[in-house]
Amino acid sequence: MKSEKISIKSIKEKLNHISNGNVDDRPTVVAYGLMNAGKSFLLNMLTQHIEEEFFKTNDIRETAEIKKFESEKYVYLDTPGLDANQADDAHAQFGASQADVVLFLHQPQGELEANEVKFLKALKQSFGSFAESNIILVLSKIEKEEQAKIDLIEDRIKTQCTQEIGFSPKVFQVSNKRYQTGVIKHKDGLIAQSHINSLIEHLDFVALNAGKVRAQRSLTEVEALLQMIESKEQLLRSKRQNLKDGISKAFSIFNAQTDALREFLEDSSSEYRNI
Amino acid sequence: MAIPWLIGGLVLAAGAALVKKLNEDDDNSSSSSDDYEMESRRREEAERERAENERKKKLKSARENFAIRGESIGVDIAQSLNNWIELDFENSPAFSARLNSKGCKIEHAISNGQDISTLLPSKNHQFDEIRENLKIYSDIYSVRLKKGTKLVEAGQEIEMIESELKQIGKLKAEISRLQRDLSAQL
Repeated sequence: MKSEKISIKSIKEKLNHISNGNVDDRPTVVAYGLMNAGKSFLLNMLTQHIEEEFFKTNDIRETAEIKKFESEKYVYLDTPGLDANQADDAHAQFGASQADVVLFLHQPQGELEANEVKFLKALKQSFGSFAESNIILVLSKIEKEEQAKIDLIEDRIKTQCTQEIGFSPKVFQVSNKRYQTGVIKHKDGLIAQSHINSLIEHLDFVALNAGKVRAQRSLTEVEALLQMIESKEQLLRSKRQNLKDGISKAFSIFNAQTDALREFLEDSSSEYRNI
Repeated sequence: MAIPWLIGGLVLAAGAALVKKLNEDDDNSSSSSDDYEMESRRREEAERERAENERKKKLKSARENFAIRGESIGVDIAQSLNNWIELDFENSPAFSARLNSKGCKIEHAISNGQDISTLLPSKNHQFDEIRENLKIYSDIYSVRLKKGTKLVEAGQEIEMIESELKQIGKLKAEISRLQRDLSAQL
C-alpha cells in the first residue's frame, strides 16, 4: 500500500494487531499453495484426520476462508488457494502474519509459478533469518509422477529458491494418499514412502523456535510499518510546506505593496518637513 | 556811522537766514530716510507673508497629494488581498495617515483591537513579514481584518496535517517501544 494513501487509522490498527499478536503459546502451522496443491489433505494427515476429513478436500476450490484446527501441540491453519482471487489472497496474507511455520505445497507438475515465487519472496522477507528453517517446501502428490521427474522438479525448485528468492528451504516430497492408505491398511512401507512422518519430525524440530520466529516476524512488520509511517510523515511535511509556500506566494504582492507604502510615507514625511 | 551798522545788521540777518535754511534742509533729509526703512520693512514683511502663504499652499497641496496617493495605494493593496483577507473599513476615505511637522501620524489606529497574529496559520517565522505588514496596513487604513476563504481553507488543511503529524509522532514512539520489546525476545 502506498504510504500517501494509508490512513493513520489503518496504521493504528496494524500496530494494535502486531502489539496484541498471537497470544496462543502453541506454534501455528499454516499451509499455503496454489489451489488443489493438496493443502487440506496434508493438514488432515498431520492432524490424524485419516478417514474423516476435518479440512475439506475437493477438486473444486473448497477453502474460501482460513480454517483452523487446534491440536494439543499446534494450531493448524488452512488457507485459500493463492490463485483463487484477490480476496482469498488477502486471507492468505492474513494467515501468513499468524504463521510460525509455513508448509508451502507445490504439485510436481513443473517449476514454481510466478505468483508462487512472489508469495514466497514476501514470506521469506517476513521470516527474516528464520526463513530457511521455518518455511518448508512440500512437493505433494508424488505418487502421481515418476520419481525421476519428481527429483528433477525438486532440483529446479531449489534452484529457483536460491536464485530468484534468495534462500534454501528444506524440501519434502510427500504423498498424502500413501500415508492415508498406509494408516488405514496398516502398511508401514506406504507410510514410510509417504514421508509424512519425516515431515512431522522436522515440524516438531523447527516449532521449537516458534517464539523467536513470532518476535522476528513482528519485528519485520513493525519495521515495515515504521518505514510506511515515516514516508507518510515526510509526505505530510512536504504537503504542509507547499501550503505555507502557497500562502507566502499569495501575499508576495501585498508585501511588495506594503514596502512601497512605507517608502511613500517616509519620502512624503521627509519632503513635507523640508517645505 | 549809519552804514557800517547797517552792513553789520545785514550780515547778521544773512547769516541767520543761512542757518535757518541749513536747518530746514537737515529736517527734510531725515524724514526721507525713515520712509525708506519703513518701506523696506514693509516689503520684507510682504515677502515673508508671501513666502509663508506660498509655503502653506505647498504644505496644503502636499497633504492633499499625500492623502490622494495614500488612498490610491490602499486600493491596490486591498485588491492584492482579495479572497485571502476580508476587509472591514472604519472610514471612507480609509487612508488614516496625516502629515505634520514631525513627519506623519496615524489618526485612527485600530490594530490594538484585533489579534493579527492569529490570521495566519502556525506560529513559525515564515509569516512574520506578512503579519507585520498586515498590522501596518490595518493601522494606516483603519481596517479590521478577517481570514478570507482561501486563507480559511489553507489554514484548515494545515491544521489537519499538523494533527496527523502529531498522531504520527505518538505512533512512532509506540513503534520504537515495540521494536525494543521484540528485539529483546530474539
